[in-house]
Amino acid sequence: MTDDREIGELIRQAADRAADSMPRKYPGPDFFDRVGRTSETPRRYVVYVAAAAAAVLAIVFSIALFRDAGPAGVDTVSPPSTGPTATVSTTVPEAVDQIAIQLAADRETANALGLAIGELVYAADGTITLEGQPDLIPLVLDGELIGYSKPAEILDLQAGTDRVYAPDGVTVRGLIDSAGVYLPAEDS
Amino acid sequence: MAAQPDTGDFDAWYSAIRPKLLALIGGSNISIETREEVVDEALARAFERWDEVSEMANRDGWAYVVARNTLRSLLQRESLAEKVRRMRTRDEVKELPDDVVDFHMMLEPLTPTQRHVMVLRHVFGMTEPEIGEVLGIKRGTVSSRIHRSHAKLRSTLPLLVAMWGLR
Repeated sequence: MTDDREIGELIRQAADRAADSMPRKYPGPDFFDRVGRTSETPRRYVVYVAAAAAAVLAIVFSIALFRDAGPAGVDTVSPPSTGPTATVSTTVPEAVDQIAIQLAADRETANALGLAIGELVYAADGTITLEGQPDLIPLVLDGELIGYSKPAEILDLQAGTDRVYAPDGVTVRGLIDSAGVYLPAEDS
Repeated sequence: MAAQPDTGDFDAWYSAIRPKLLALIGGSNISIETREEVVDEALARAFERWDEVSEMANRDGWAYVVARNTLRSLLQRESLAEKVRRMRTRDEVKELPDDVVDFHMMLEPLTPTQRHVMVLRHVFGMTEPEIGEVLGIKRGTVSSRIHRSHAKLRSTLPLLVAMWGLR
């Protein structure tokens, strides 16, 4: 009785009626206040990056000093590489639990993918956290930070059918299956 | 401070798209206050890069995706108590305009992802490849989700249409 085109038309008409029932207004002072706050994000990011760079430098100098002085055993984790990277994709296997990703290079890319983005914070004690992103888990393999994981269900992936795609700026590093085994992504 | 872009075109777009985003994002259980917060956040991002957004082939669809992702991100990181605060009670839902409740009821049989795909396809007129690109999924997956959504709605929509007297 109802074909696909008719279904689409009914949805569009219902959406138009719903939109018409909501109040219309032009952007006011409240909106532009928000713009100002949103604009702070890149500046805040720069501050975090500068702080991270300073912390890494401090760690490097500390290691150099300790090595000169003799004591060994000071260890640290390299920060992840940033910037545009080649696009990779990988097939989601059965029973995948986690997706290992590298941070998106910009907020728009992250939003388009449904990935939230946060700021890396390198603490003086060498720990790395991702501020405001409790569902992103740093992944360390053989002592190397390989990326961050995100629960597969948040990305709404269907095991065995979907492939994980990433545009420039985001790298799919691999998948973590339900047994906790890390499966590196295949290049597309 | 960076120079502010010309707001003439933006103001007109804001006025036109804001009611649509307010009505369509989330489900009917999301409060008006939360809708406004999320939609204005998305539109603020659009304003900040208006030079680029204004040239987009489907900026309405882009704004919907950003608003929807902002809402999802908000709900993911908040505590249960905060989430509950953003939800309307059964009585409060009645305060939403009937047409908004009707729209969400129409898509009720679908999963959240299927609803999202259907809105992008039929309301914002995105093609399947465009939907695949913004959602980061392959075109075949988009097609199958649309197909399954249509199959579900084919049996329920005629009943709703008859009930509402839409035709």
